[in-house]
Amino acid sequence: MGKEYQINSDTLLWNKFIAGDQEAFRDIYNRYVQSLYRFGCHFTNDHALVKDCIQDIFVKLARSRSGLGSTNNIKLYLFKSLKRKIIKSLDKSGIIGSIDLEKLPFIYTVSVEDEIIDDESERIRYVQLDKAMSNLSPRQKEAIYLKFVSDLSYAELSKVMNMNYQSARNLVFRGMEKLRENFPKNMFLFFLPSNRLRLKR
Amino acid sequence: MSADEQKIVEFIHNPEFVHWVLQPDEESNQFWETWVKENPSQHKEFEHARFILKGLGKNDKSLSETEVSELWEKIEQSESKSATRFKRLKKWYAAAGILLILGFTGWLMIQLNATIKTAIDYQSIAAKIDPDNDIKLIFADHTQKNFTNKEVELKYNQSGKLETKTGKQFHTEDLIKSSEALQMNQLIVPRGKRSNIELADGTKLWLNSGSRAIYPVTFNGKTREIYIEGEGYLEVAHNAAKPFIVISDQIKVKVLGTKFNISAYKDDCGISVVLVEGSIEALCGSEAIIMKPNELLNYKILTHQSTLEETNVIPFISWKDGWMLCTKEPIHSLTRKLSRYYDMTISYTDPRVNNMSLTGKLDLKSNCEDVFKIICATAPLKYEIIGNTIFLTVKEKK
Repeated sequence: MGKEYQINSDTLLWNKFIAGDQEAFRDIYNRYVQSLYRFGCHFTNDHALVKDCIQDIFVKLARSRSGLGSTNNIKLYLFKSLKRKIIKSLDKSGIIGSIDLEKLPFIYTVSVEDEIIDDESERIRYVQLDKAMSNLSPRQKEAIYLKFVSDLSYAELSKVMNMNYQSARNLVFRGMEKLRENFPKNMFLFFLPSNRLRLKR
Repeated sequence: MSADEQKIVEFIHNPEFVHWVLQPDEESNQFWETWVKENPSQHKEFEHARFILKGLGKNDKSLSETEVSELWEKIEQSESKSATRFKRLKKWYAAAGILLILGFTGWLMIQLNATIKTAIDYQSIAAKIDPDNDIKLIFADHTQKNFTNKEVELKYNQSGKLETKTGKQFHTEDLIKSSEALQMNQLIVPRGKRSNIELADGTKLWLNSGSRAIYPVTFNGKTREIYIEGEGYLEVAHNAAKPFIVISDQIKVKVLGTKFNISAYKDDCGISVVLVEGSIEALCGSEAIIMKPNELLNYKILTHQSTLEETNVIPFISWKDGWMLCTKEPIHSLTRKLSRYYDMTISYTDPRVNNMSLTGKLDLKSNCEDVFKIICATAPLKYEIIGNTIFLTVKEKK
């Protein structure tokens, strides 16, 4: 439905962009800049650096436009490039040293302090969600984020995270399972036992 | 498993549902509203699934509309700039290619000559003397002078006279004894101290804490060559006939007359050069990079990668005037600089500290504790000084 349409217009946009259409380039930027920024901010608190990286990947995209092949997935391309770029820049500024992907943080907090949430039970649920999230490994958080917030398919997120399809799926499922375990039962009926069974089999 | 749980899983894995929660629009709103009315028994699970999805991305920071358009402008600008620059470079490469062929034999001869005549093994000179707590000046005859002051000013002139200023005291001495030979002096500035030198040609050199410089008393050769380890800011006196060359372990910077900062500490993983005025050529590895004002060159020692970018130069050079300007400076970089400047160890173990970055202006002329008082007033940090170590911890919110 909605997604199908998006993929089609992505291909269209992309082809226009390769042909030199500056409006198409701007459309691509407008369509993805926010979700890229949000994703990028999970790797570092240096938000200026995230902006710089976004700038760099779009400039690079424009610069190499004549040499680019056709793709029907701009989003995947951009997410992949941004992650690579951020890792590179973090490494350069000496924060991580020799890059160990496993140690790359995925900063995640569901803070409720800044906002007034009228519904007290909803506030408590957010706190619980935050606690549950903090028990996940950085890569589990990243996978869950890419799947459910950035709205990537398993095939796409496996490419962004540089792993095969099955590992990416497992990462999301195990993460969700852990979330469920850490979520008090009475607070919430959580999910995923079906997937756990599937994995064991 | 219960039917409720099953239902939530179904929602979460329904791309249309996920899409609607993340990016609702009128059409999908209507669709799901109707759906809930038609399936009242699943209303609770529906809400739970929606809550989880919304919660996951809830705290994400977004760009404001102005930020979005500012970023776009930057992209368009650097896109067009890089396009023209690329064209210019192409032309430049062609010209350089021709020069290269013409100059090859000449270069070979110069190179052979140079290695015999002027190559100075700076590293072995530097290795002979280790820094301690005093600023040290080592003369060509290996005698040395120690200064206990925090800052020392030296001034050489072309006839080989040296003027020393420590605090309010002046001292002048004659250095040239045998005028033929090239006399090298070495100045060692330990952590916690600073120095500035006016060289015989009028070039001014500020040396930051934990640095050293090796330089001739007078410049007699065809080039003016000095060695720097650590950080220095230079205002090179213009002399087109005698290029000025700054050598450090990994990088060589060739200039005619400019102002620039070089940071080449042995314990940093990279070298940076910032150009304030004029034009310089930096040789790192096998790469020659021509820099323009307001550009920052970073060279990574391990990977031999260099990057060139535009920057605001002030934060890089303000140390020479006793200020430290930070714009979103990561805490690890700031603490490394401050620990050199004040000769203190700065320690933190909380990973949240490492994720912080600071913006502001620090007066380095004030004492170390005052500087940390200011830092801790602006960032959610606490400090504690025990002996020679400052411990930083996160101020917990109550």
